[in-house]
Amino acid sequence: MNMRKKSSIPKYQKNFNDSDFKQNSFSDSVPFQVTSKTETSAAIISAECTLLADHNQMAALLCSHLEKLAEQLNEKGAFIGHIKASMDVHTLNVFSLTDKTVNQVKGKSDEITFNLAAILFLIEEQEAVKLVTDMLKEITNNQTIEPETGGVI
Amino acid sequence: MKILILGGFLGSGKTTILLQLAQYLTEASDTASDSKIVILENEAGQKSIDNKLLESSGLFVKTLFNGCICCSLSGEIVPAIIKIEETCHPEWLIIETTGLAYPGMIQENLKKAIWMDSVICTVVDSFRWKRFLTPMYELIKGQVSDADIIFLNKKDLVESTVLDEIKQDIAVFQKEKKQALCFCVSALEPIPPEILNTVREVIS
Repeated sequence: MNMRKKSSIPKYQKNFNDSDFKQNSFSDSVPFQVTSKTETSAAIISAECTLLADHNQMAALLCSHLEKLAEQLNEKGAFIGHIKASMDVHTLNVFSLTDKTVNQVKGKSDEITFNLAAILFLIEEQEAVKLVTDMLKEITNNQTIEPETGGVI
Repeated sequence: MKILILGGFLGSGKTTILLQLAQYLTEASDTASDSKIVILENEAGQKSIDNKLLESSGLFVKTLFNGCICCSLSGEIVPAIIKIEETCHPEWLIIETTGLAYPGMIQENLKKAIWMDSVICTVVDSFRWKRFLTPMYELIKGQVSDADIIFLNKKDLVESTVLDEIKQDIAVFQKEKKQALCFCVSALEPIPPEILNTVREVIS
């Protein structure tokens, strides 16, 4: 089963007080947004992505991609201030009772929102945006993740 | 309300040390206030990662996004602190700055705008110090020179000779301006209570 994109995500989420942040444009199919700015010679990149997948596999995938991103940045001579990411996982469990026993059904996939914050030096802002964007595209488009089969617990 | 400004370069370990320090201060506090400690988190970007970690530890966190409170958001930190004091009445306010901030400018702002004194604690990345000292010289110097307390973090990743060299660099930056208390720690391990207690006494 492929990872499913969450179709209800707005293409562009309006952020207040973000006139100095650039909203990077993507096609309708991508389930993430990336914003960026340059401040005190640092490229400051923020990203958010929401999708449905198995959270354990997503965590491993995210780790490997972040390390790959670091490798790419080092190859370009960039200096990593820091790259941080967080993953919020929502797992659905439904409980129903009509007689004496409770039936539990687990959702097939977890709803995962991950946020990324990167502060980078010695790299052009748009080049950094491209690297982050390519990473997110790889995570969301090119990976086949088999979430745990949903069903009665 | 006692104010601690926790600064230091990106990735130095500020949040990791903050978690330990906040827990210690909470346990040592005898105030009746519900919010013994409030964390004011500053994020340069639009997404905050650290505030989630802090909140998951039961800490009360307010966040200022999209800029640095020593410069672009300098006008927002003052009302934020006033509101925190009025609504939460915490015994401690810990301001975790961005890794790009000059803590001394924040301290000066608080002093001039609302006559509030504060203590600066700077976390130094011992592992990367030599690497970014040259390209980030002015920023590093600015973060260290005004510190009252300095944590030389990641001591487990460097030789003791490196720590000595860093202390010498710090002494040059501080000169006669301040004589910061320096502690060599590894934030991934429990920081000795006597160190945390010393920090508490300095802030008090």
